[in-house]
Amino acid sequence: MPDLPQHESPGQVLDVELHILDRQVLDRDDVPIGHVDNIEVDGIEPGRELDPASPPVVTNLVLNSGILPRMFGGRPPASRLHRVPWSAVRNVGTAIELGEPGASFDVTWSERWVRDHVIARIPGGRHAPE
Amino acid sequence: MLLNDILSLPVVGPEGRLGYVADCRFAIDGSPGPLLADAQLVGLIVAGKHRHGFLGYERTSVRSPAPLAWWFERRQRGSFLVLWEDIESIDDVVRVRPGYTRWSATL
Repeated sequence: MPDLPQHESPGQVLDVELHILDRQVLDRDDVPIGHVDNIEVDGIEPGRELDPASPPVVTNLVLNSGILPRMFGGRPPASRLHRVPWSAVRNVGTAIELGEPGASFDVTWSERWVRDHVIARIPGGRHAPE
Repeated sequence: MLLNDILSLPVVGPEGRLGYVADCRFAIDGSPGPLLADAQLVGLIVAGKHRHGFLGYERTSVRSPAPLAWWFERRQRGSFLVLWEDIESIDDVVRVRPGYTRWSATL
């Protein structure tokens, strides 16, 4: 490996397994909303000759969709994947930081459901503790 | 397309099998976005024998603890980066164009 030429890319360089997959995702208020299970890219059509002048770009991060497939195999249908658009990503570091609140993403629907249908029915559950 | 479908695919070049896709390298240098620029695919990391390294540890400048660095580097020796413009097609295998260049996989 040392005798191979080194390729220099402008901008921040990210290796998917090293820098993105399984990283925790934090919303605008640094609240964790999940972890990255997969990445969706645009620009690759299987079986067709690729355009060297049009490299694929990341369109979405796919969150929290890996536990059941790891246990039972297969994959969830595309309509059930929890996607976070790359345009919402603010920074990629030890965690993936987003620039929007977690409530604006489908991935937090279960927390909102429990809040509205369970917590809200408990006396005192509709306001912050005093 | 989901990237997990590409990881671990065999890579075939003009001279035969080259190895497996061990990782995908992106650079945040595309069209400017509201917060970050687009992340464009730079190329694929091809590993000769083992489909997975240790999460890319062997590609970083970390050299300690030395026995682990030596072991992971040995497992991934011979791995290299193939740029996007040298990739011909991706389906069940990744095909590389004739005359492709092997680049160092280190970061």
